[in-house]
Amino acid sequence: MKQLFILLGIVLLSFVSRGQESAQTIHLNPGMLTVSDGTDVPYFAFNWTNEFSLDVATVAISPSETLLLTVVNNDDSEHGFTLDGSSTAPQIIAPADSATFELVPSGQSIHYFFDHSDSPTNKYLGLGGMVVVTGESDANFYWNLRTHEAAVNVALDAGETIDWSAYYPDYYTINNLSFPAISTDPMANLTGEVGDVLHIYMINTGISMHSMHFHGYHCTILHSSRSPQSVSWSKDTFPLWPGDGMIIELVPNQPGIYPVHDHNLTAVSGGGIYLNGGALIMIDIQ
Amino acid sequence: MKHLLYFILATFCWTQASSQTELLLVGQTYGQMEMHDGEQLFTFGYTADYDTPMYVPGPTLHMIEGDSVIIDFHNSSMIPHTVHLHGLDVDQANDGVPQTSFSVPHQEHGFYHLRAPHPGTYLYHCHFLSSIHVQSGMYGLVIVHPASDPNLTWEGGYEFDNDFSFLTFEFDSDWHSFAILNQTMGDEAILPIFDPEYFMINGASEQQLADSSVGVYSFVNEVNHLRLANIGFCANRVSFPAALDARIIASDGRPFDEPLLADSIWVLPGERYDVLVDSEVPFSGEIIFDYVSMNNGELLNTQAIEVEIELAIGTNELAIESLEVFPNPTSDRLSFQVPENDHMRLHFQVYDQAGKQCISSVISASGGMCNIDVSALAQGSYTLVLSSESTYYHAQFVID
Repeated sequence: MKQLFILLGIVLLSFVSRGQESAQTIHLNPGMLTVSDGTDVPYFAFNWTNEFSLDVATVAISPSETLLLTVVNNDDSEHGFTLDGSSTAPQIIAPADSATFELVPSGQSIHYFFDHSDSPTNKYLGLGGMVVVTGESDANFYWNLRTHEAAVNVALDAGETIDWSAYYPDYYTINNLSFPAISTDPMANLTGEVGDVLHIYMINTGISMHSMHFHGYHCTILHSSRSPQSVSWSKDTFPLWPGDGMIIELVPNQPGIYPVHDHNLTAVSGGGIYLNGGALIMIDIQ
Repeated sequence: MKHLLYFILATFCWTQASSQTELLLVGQTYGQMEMHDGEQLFTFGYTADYDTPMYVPGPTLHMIEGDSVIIDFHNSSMIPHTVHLHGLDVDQANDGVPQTSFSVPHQEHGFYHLRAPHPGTYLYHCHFLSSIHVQSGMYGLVIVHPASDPNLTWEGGYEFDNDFSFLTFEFDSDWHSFAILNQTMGDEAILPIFDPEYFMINGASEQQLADSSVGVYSFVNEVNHLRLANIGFCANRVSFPAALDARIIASDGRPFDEPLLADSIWVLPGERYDVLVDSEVPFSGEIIFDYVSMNNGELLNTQAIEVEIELAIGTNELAIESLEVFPNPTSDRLSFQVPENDHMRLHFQVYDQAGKQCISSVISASGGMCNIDVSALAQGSYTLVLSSESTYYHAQFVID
């Protein structure tokens, strides 16, 4: 009987320390990406269902939850999966198979998940996303930044070898959308009122660097996966290396409509045309 | 010394401080700049008056914290332009974005109103067809000084002796053709592939940097305030010699709670960082600027600026004495007697005939006798410089 109590105690303790479990499932789906000039390029995405969509799954949990994330591979090729910060080692997932990853968060943070196999090809082709551990705010926004070179997607689809040192993107997206289409995405389009506490969860799941500049406001860095020393810095321009996640807090002190854009100014373009798409999104503060 | 000019400029700006500052910027589109290889590139730009020839970057705008500032922008070019005050968090009407603010047509004036916010380092640039007009050269620095003291980083911040600004950017000659720069169609423009040939700091590159005295020049124990800003399309990795004890104290016009001690810092497009450097001993070296592609992480180019920190002869009470070293000539070790008998730590440097620093280190003098390893030096003549808290010693020696 005494052993039973001890076992019960251990189980209870384990449950308390792990917090409440959040079991979520995402699907790895093959499909096509239509870039801003109408060109279709081969692509993949992590989605909530087994149907391909450019609406990429962003997994959100609270700091008190333990995430059990199951990944289902719906492609006819095997894929890898890595979740940064997870106690589960990176795995290769066979076609029609699945794997589950555990994440016990230590506070408000971003955790990059991606297909580590055939790097950087599979990451480049859309297989990256984020688990966000949310904090207290009036509203949250999620930006998944990527770049695309249409000719590279086509060449990869044809089985050709890519010289990544010559990579030159011609399309830039946030949540797989370019400006102005990104303005229709309520997860991304930054709106609020003066005095609101707005949290922006940014991740760079592509293979290029970004430097996101805010007009009108400085924001405070709450979390940076690459530069923890930058937490608490107040800035107007935020560097994001490939694979980096950053959480910033904006408390607007004035109303206005302002752009936020990559200050590598070749990135506010699409297909070589200025302002035809690009890593650009608007802030609308009432 | 160049830093004396900076001091005079800063002091002038400070003593002219009032509750309102009015600045003139003139937009120009018929500039030409000579690159380090002699190539002439067609540029746009800003000037502070109607007579000064256009140069890239444009004039640095100095403001005093808390002042009301009016910028009178006269567009004397044929193409619409704006002034975006990057990082100054102005209201929407004064933001300089054509779609949400206003653009200034040919031969008209546009007035930008702002209250200079926090002391620090900022930028301004044209936001009309911004990819093209920034590449063309329409940009410059904004420095907001604290109200109390031009040689203070901010109220309660750090005092400094010298203020140096380094604004980085690149030029791709394909973007500087008349046809590309003069695109005026609505809100759209064709962007060529960006493949820069010229990697600039304050408008100079390669030998132009030394010719233009783009560098850090000071005396020992002076605190140098470096303002690093990137308006280009590449990432910059800026590396400081360890001897300069670099402290990164602010970014984007906001101070850090604690300085970040680092020998290098990445400065991405649109970012600014404020850095303090100094040396207790004479130092000669370089600060390295790497230019890295934002697209693929490839290193595209490296530029270097001079750092010369000299003895403040006549401005302090340190004695300067010659020193006897032996054996001389030597091939591997050098010995000398320091006429201060206590145990102490000494900084020492060895310079070659070209003035290049070959060795910089610290040794402990025990009973006044020191030995240093010079076996790595090539044949030639060298100068040894030693410094203690009270005296500088120097000696000539030969490696045979």
